[in-house]
Amino acid sequence: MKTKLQGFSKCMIWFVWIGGIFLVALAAQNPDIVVHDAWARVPAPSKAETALYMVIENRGTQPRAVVSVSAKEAKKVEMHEMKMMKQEKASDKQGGMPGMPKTMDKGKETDGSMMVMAPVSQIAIPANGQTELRPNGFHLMLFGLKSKLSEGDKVSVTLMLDDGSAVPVTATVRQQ
Amino acid sequence: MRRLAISLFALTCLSCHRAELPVLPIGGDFTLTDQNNHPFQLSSLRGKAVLIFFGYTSCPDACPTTLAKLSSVYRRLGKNSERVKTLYISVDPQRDTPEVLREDLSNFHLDALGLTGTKAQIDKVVAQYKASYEIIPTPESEAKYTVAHSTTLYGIDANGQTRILFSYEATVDEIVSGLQSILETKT
Repeated sequence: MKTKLQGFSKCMIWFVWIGGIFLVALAAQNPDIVVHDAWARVPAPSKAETALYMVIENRGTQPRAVVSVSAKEAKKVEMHEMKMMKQEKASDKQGGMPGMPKTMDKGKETDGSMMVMAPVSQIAIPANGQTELRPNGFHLMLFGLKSKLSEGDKVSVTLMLDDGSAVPVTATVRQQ
Repeated sequence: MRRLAISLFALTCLSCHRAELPVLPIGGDFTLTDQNNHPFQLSSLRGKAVLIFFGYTSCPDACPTTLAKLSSVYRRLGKNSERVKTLYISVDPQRDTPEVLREDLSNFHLDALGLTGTKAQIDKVVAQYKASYEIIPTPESEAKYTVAHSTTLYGIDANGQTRILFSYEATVDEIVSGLQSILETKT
């Protein structure tokens, strides 16, 4: 009798625990954020890193932002932006560029000719709008890929938003 | 000068076919190391049209986009693709060894050769072609540093003379058309 009661109690504890996790997971979803067209580039053969793109739609009335990203298949995920910068704009740090002025205007966007990638701390998604993560713009960088990715493979990432909600995303690996 | 050259291309591209292409006052022969660890000279490609661009294999966007675009250009050129060689000059010799260049270029379907060298050798070629690059430390990132670089694609004729500067935004059609003009140009 005692054993039966102990078994029942254990079952109840498991039921409540699993149910709790399920409810928390449900609460953490954000129905206003819809992601589509997610894809990751086939990594270069010598690299354990790749870029991942998607369209993030915000159907809500509040602006949101992606503040961090994680992926099962990668050690680390960073948010990056590729920008075209004028030649004169690249920094006046050591080295510089042959034949280029040392003084650079870092603050001004131009239609210049140097492509540069930089990490960003968040990616904004306007209310009733969308943000496209695409080549030559915002994108996610997956570092430390745990396995070789080939065309057609799937990659799962989770976007963490500024309101504490999480958005799971599955991206397809392709060449371009 | 660079703008003038790009403008020249924009003007000539409108009537690229059969138009006489100007010889641009940049570029010239150079010596680097190819992806098979052999010394390479541009002059060894006399008789072929050559496309040159500067980049690095850890580049997640611009370089694979250019390589994928050039793969389409090669498909579009058909038989003429045998007369065109692409040179991918790395501006990141620290990470891009000949082996890395060879391995990464194998992902794309085009007749390309990855080139590297010492910083001094690479800087000399960069200056010759009025390209630009800069190593920018990014300690907050797993990448540790990123490389800002120019994205111009250089169209070289069978005599090693620079004829067309394609901007990064140039379409497959524009590059194919420009290459056909280079192949038809009397040198």
